Amino acid sequence: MDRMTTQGRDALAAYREMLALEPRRVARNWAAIEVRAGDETSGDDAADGILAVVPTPARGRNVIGVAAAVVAVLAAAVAVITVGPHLINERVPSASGAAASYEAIEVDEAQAGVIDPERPAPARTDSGGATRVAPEPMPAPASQVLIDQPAAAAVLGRAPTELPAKTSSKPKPPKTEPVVDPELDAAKRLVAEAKLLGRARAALRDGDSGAALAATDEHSRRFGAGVLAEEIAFVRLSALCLDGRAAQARAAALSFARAYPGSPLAARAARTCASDDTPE
Amino acid sequence: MDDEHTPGREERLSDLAALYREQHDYVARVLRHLGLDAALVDDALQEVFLVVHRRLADFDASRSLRNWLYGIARRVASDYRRGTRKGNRPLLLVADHSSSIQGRDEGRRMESARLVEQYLATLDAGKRRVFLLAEVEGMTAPEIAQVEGLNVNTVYARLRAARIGFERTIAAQSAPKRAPWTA
Repeated sequence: MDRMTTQGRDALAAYREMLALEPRRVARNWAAIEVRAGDETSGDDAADGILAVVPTPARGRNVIGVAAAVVAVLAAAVAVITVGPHLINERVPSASGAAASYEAIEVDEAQAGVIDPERPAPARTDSGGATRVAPEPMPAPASQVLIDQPAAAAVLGRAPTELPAKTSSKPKPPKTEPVVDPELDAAKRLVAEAKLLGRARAALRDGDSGAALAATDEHSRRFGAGVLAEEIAFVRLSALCLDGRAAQARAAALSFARAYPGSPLAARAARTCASDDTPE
Repeated sequence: MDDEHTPGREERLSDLAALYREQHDYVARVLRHLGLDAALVDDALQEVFLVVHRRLADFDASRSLRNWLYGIARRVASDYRRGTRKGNRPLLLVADHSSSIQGRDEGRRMESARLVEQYLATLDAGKRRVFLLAEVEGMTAPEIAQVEGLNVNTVYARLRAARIGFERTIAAQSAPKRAPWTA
């Protein structure tokens, strides 16, 4: 298969970024999903009076919820304008629900020049006393994480122990036998992997390379070549770069390229810690 | 008594949130790759994750997560294209798909992205999907053949043709603008 030129790859990477959802849309979609999924699960959320459905109009459901969502969103927007980002970031009161809390975080981060909100968010309790799932702020794709963090932006790759020794489309397990919990069924493993990845990205975004690396180590230990191993590998090499271990990051980037030659993250991996001004 | 392995409502939503955090952008992109209008993406995105919520227990770990999501997105997008889920859309804001780049003051990258968009508009749907799945999502040809239900040779042929056209487009754009009086 013909190889793509650098200009072509850069253009495609830019196109990929262009398709990224705006953080507010990410948040509002989650707010709608959360309520609709809750409806399907319990069937009685509509009576809770809790917030918001950003509806599927064709279904014509939860008209009241829609209005509540609009109110919540508008309230958050007003708060942003009138109160300012600092107070908003300390969490909108629970009554405004998921949409508002996302809004707050996202708007604040947008002002800070960070598109990718991913900070720990505890489970919250709505005004009715029911605990709602804590949608930790949505992570942006890895591309955004790196682009938003100059120190890590050049990173790609993965730790040598995570990578298969030879070229293959899928990584092999590390030499140390991963402790894959046999009790976890596939769905549970997937979710657990996703949570670990989220934790690693959050740490990376917060500049905590140690925590990011610890999370990727935990992933390798627990899941080996898990479903999300590619993403974990990318975060890991980013963390290595951020940690000042440029040589290791570059080696990890090379390993990443071998392990995932077709990865959409490959170009960014190759740039990770590639410049001379990155820490060694 | 609930069995400890029977996830409750909160746990299921928490699981869904974790997946949404990691995969929402992928799903949104795929919906666009599948030809869904930008104004319908939010709605369809929600549908995809509601299906995920219902079917998460059936996920087969031997399969690729992204392929699984792609399969769901494809069915949802198909429904929307056929109009069975079409609605007057949304409360959700639209027309901001370029903001992630603009916000970074990367005019050149925006220009590149627009160039890609223009090129994609010249491709037929089948070729466009193959090209995007390979070049934007990083799928291999066999993976694409599987999710698209195509012969792998067909995938290669479409991909090759699309790449050639794409590179020509990029080269034309990248060529230095010569002054008319130079040779």
